[in-house]
Amino acid sequence: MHEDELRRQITELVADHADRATAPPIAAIRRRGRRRRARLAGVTAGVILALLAGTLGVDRLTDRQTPLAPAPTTTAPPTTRPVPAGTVAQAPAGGFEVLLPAGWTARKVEGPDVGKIPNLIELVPRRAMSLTAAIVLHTQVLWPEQHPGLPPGEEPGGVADPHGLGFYGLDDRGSPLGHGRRRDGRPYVWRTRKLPDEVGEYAIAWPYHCHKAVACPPGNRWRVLVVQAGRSDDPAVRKKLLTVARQVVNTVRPITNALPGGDPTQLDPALPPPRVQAGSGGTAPPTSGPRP
Amino acid sequence: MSGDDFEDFYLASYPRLVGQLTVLTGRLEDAEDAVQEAFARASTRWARLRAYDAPEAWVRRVALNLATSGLRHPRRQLAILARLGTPTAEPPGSTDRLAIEAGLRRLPLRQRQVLVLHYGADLPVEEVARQLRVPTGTVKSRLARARAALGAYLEETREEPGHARG
Repeated sequence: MHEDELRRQITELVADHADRATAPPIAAIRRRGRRRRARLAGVTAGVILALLAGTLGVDRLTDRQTPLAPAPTTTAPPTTRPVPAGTVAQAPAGGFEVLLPAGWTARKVEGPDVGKIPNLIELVPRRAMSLTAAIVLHTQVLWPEQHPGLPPGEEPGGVADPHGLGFYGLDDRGSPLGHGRRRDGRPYVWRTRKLPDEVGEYAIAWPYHCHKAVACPPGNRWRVLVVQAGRSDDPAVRKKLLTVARQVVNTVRPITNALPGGDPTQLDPALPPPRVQAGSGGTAPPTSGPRP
Repeated sequence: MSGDDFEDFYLASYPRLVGQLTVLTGRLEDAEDAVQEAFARASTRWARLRAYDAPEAWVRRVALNLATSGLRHPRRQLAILARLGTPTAEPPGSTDRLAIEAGLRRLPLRQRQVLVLHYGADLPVEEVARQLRVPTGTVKSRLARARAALGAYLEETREEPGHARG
């Protein structure tokens, strides 16, 4: 779609909706703000009281029917479903499963409108470090120039994007691109500190393997598993995040379509749907990786 | 901005922000709830916010976060409905408008976010990245995917005149 045309249509849409908006009286907005502030003050008082109770070791206080501490409202986005502790978390369409690091839990993002994101898992510490201390794993089609392990003989330069894949790129504001290899031989690239409070991100070669009955989608050879190591203003938290991210990079395992033979029921949403008729594809040989 | 200028700011920015958020959420009621809550929060911080170069950016970001979490949380949706009543009837739109709205609804939330901020709010890619706290490369990538997906959907609906949109 032409960009100017898209801009015009979205601008018109915004203007149409803006015309239908009716601003409530300013007094109602101010009242709502004051009520919220009062609520927050109550919550803060509850937290302080709970901390005091804990510090003084007054066990009886914690036995009351009414909880002193408020229910957590900010640390966990309401979009998530916890994965049972002590297990692995799986993202079947992303072709990976991750062993939960000790003290960490996993959330899968889902919701009525967004729908499940079957190629994304968020790892969060059980004991909150900070609101942004989370390690996010998701599959993407990486910009070929940055790809850690192109098939032998393939030139990475000058690749166009005829399929509109919208390549994912590791941000160039970070450290120079580093290269590494997992114990199982999978290569990866990494960058640290894109922004001052960011830890960095890894991209592990995670080729998509086509099932013999399903045509390969474009871009599958450049699929990677991105591990974003979260962010924090606290250097100690950043250090911890980096340690856990490295552990995850080395232990995350391929499943479903990341294994030779593929899984016809699991098409990665990071890849566009195949446009070739079914039947023209084949199973990728395990040694050479997936077919383009 | 002078003394009690919050009201001027509110009246000038409210419709624009609701317009942008409606394109994101697909529902006027959700957008209005998020924008009103964002302005309520701004009202208690106005002494600080009014010194910003663009206080509207702060309100937009808060509203965007609220709308995004609302979209992902069915219970919050019910609470909004209870507070605002039944949704207002949508006015009839042109075929093009219906098609683009249907196309937008089919996009993943993250792609809609970048489209709304870049085209709907006319923010440069760098500012979109700042507002969403993601790298510029990610914004470009999402924009490219969104354009491709929307283009493909519109093409498909043009080829199939009887296709039920939405």
